[in-house]
Amino acid sequence: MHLAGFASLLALASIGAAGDLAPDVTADPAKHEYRRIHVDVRHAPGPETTAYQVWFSEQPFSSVADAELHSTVLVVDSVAGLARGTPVFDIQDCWLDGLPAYRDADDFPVVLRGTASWSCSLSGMAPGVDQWIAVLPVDRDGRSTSLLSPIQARTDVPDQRTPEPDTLHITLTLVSIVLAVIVLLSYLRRRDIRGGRVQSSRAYAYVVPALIGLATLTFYPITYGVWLAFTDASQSHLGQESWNGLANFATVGASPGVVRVFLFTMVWTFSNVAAHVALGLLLAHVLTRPGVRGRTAYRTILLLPWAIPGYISVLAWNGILQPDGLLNAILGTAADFTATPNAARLSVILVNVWLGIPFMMMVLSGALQGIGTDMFEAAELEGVSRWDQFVHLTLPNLKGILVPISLLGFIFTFNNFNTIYLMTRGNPYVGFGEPGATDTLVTYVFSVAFDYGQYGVAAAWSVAIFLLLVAFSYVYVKRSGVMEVAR
Amino acid sequence: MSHKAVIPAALLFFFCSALLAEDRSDPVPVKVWHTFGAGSMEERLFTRAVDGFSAEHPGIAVQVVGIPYLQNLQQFINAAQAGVAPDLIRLSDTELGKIGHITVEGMPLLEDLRAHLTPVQKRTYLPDSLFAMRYGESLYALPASRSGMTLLYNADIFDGAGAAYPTDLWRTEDLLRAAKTLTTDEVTGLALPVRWSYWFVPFIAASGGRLLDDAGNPALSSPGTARAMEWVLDLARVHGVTGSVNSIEAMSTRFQTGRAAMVIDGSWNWDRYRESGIRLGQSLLPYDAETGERLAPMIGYFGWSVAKQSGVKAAAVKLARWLTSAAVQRDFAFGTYSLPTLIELMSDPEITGHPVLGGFIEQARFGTPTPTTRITAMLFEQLDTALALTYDGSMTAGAALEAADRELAKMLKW
Amino acid sequence: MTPAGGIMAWVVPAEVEALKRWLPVAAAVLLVILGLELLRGDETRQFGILAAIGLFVACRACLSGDRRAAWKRYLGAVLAAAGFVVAVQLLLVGGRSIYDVWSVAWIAVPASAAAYWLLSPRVAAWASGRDDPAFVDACLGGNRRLEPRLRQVGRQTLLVHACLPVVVPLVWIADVAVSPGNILGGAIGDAFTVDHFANVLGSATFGTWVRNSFIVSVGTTVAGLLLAIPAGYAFSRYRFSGRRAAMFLFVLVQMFPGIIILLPYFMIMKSLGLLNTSIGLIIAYSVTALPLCVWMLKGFFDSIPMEIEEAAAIEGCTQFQIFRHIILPLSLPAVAVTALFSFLTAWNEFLLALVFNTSNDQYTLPVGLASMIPATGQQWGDFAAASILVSIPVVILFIAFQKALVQGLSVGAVKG
Repeated sequence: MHLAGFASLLALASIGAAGDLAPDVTADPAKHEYRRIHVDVRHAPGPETTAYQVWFSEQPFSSVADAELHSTVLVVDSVAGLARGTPVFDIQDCWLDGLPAYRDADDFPVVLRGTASWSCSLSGMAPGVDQWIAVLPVDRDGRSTSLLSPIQARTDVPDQRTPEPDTLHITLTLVSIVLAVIVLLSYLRRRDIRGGRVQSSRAYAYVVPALIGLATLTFYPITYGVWLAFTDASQSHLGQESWNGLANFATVGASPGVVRVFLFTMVWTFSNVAAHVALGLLLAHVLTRPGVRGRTAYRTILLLPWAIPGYISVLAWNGILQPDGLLNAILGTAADFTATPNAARLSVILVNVWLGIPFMMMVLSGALQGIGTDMFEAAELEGVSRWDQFVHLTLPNLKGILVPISLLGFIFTFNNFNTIYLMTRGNPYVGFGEPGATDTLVTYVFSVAFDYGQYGVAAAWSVAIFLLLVAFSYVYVKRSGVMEVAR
Repeated sequence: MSHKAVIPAALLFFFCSALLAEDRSDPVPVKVWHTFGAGSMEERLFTRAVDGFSAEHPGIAVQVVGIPYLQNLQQFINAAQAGVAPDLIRLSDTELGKIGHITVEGMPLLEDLRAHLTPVQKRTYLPDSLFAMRYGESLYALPASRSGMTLLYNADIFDGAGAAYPTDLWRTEDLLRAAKTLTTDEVTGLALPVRWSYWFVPFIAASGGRLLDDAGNPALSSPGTARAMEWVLDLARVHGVTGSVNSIEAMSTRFQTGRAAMVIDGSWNWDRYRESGIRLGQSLLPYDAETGERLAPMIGYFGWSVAKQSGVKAAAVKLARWLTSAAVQRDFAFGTYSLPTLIELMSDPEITGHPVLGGFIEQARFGTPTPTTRITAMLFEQLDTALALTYDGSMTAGAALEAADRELAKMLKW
Repeated sequence: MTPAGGIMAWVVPAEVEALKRWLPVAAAVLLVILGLELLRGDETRQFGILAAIGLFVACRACLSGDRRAAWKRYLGAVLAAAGFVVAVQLLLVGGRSIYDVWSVAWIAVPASAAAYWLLSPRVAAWASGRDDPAFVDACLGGNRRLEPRLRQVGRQTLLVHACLPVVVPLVWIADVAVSPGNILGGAIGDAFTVDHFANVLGSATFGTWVRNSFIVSVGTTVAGLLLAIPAGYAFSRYRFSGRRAAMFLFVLVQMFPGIIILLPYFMIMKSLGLLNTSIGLIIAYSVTALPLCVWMLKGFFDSIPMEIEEAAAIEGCTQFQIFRHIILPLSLPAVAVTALFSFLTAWNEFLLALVFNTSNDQYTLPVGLASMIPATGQQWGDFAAASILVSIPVVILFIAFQKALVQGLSVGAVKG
């Protein structure tokens, strides 16, 4: 039976001579499956018959012109050389004498001419809908050798669907978070008023909207992330996590290359923040001096790296650093700046420095504008050198801004994912099963989660990062004293 | 208070009207995610196909969403976990390999389409294409298109150097010799990102190696593969004929700007090259000099998958059948040079005789078979690592391939 | 050191001060250039630059020390002249690319300035140890004229060099955007077309993306300011229980790597019914930007003296009046910075905009641009043109923002 013959079969089948008895077809509802109707066929094929055609339609039909050809079962005189069985990947199971049918070289099911009955599980049947099914014996030329007598059948085996996740518990969690924040603050407020801090209620009123927004959107995800770290969460069974204790943390500790990634993360973070702050401050300082020509133009240009979406500029840098790229064209070289580990590390750091300076520059410009000019004039008259003015007047006045901005810069850089991912994806490779040369903790967490599907381990990494950053920030904030009230 | 009453009233109204007039029921909404670039030719052809479907099936309302290609899988996994997955999604065989093992609430992400097709429908697709859309025993997508690479050359550079054009009878030695002849200060003989597994795979099967053994376990390590690896890397390390291209873009740009005589590339870039004024020639990839086997590029497949979560699977399958139908595949083949996956189109003289499609279809017959499994999806990263570590001299090819196999075996256990 | 010399010692010609400062800078820049030359492997140039660095360091040494001497001046001038000769040699021998000329300029300009100044009469007089009142007067007078100019030159040099690495990638992107075909890279300025811009502007979806981005960004800015200003003010001005904990909380929530907790975030948005809405993104972005805005504003508010408020309160101003008429105008630069930060957070954010929106008519620009990238054969030209168009509104915003900064400055001047 050849595929090219189907079209002609379709035309011929209806006009064939009806010599044989029509096959006796019965549906067996007990054996129906999802989108499959099980039919038992009893028929003694005549000598002319070389195949059975199965036709079906959702309407009753009396001619195959009104139906669709479903499948073909071949009739042979001998099964010598053919094997029984269902190919793993085939979509129609047929049985002969209760055993899987024979198959020919093209994987068509085959029945023996002497056999009076066979059965098939017909796929492609819409559930809950009546189907009319006819089995038609045909001869070598595709002419039918019996009359068409469709039977009615339907499978009611329902569709299998992934259950909808339940969001009620999330709604409840959000409501309770909001309530908890309000209750906590009213308690504190009453305590403050009793303690004589009368301004307290106004302060709480000012803080509450921001605090509730923050709590609603971030508490649940972080709690979820921490919980995930103690489960065996993995792509192979999402939504069916079970408690796993500290196993993920053991995996984290035993990961190859963990120390190297940690060290590079530290180098990455500190060098970036230092460069952002130092260069941002330098440029902000120069730009706020009186009498700089072209100030607006310079400031606008220098802010541009911030204006262009980061992934576009990273892409541009990637192109510039190619062996064929602009930098090599300017220098007249053909160096591959992202091929060797150290060059790649330097490249990603420089690109991220480039990306981060404008923000620091802008914030510090704003802060420098806020410092009055009078004390500098006084200092100038006293003959204080510019450097001393900077160290003893400018920096202390900037502290209130510098400390939080550098802290948040530290956190953002530590958790920065885009620059490295878009530049190098953590490459170049260092070894098998190890993080790449430019992987930081966060890019590594990403690959653990999404390349390896180990959500639990990735969450454990995240918790470790979280604790590290909390500890660092706490010490930093505590030491700097920026949390004090202005006086 | 009034608007609260409106909703139940409206629901009641719709319910009643649905009961009263059954044939005037609301159209079935089918949400489709595709990854064709916004504004691209593919997207236009796709939109046209969907419009055609909507006209034919007024009872189905298709909602189209274009998803950024690189984020497609992650978006889909997230959406599936949150219960808002699309009904139909465009996935490549590689992507199927990456998500085939994922389950949500114990269910796979995708619907096994075997029960949705009749044997006759199934047999309209090329067996290789169906094979690429299967994961384990399940058929997770209907194949819509495939693509692979051949050898493309810049005829002007060949003429300028007085060299003979590549032929379908070339052996790898001929490739190397021509690349050497054509390499000058300005021009790269064969722009090839030698450290990229995608360009290395064609050499593996031709040299007698393979990616996986019959049981589906990683089998990168073999003398043939190691030999092929050294040979390919030597193109850059020893012969210096590949330029210093280290990315797809660098390769394409070189060829496009007339600074490379040959590339191994796919039909998708054909128009881009021709529009830059290159006199483009195409030939089959050469034979391996030792084994006499033709280089076998990977054939990439794209198909349409139905989400396990979908409540409108029948309609979604109908749309998938439409999007993989002969008419739509022809449009895509002529418009974007993607290769069809239907048997009937393989005997269509307009396609087999097409000046661009013909050669690529011929080459696709020699493709490296890559079963769509999780290990295949992971294999390329390890192969990349092996290439990188061999290239920079920290390992020999043989040792690197063995290490890659070991690593893959370890990953299989997860 | 004699007492008289002590007084005169700090009357130094501005030229000498400038050389003292800039010769080391030039040497440092040349060190970087030397690194690049090692990459290029051009030994002549490496040698020349190494020599120039040595000459500059030596020349700088001639200017230091308390003892002035004519021979030091002559030696310095000779060293500088030698540097100039090296520069000329390099230019004659080596290439003439932009990079070559620029790197040689870093030898030639400082060298010639040093030679010229060291041989000038003013420096000659200073070096010979003159300290009579006529010289001091002339020297101070000269310095008064020269110093601002030198400072201007110094600043311009710094700023131009800072702008170069910014401009180069932009030129590169612009070149891709105006080159026909879809070439990523290639020579700058070899061909021109506006097709890519026409393609992008002609597509209906681009307009939708712009509109969505505007709604989300403006919404985020307004919502962010409304939340952050009161909170920042409260943290700066009031004592209340839980204050420190709350402040620390604001940074704490930024520390958990975001990637792993995208799903619960997504679920929250789903249960609030905010998927595929602008409001969902506005809320998410406002909260994302909050910690930085609150801390930044707190820092700015801290720098406004309490006395002003206290005085106003004594005069009978209400709290709101004080805030509206005193605090807000004084902290305008800070508010502008915060607003800009909120706006750009929303304008450029990709991940949340991607995850929370699975409907094309809700895409913001970054997601829209990403959706232009197909599996194969990216339209680089269109992509670059679109990314330039994306940045234009932000550039306009920057220019407007500078006005706010300047305004803040003038208000600040009034307060003193």
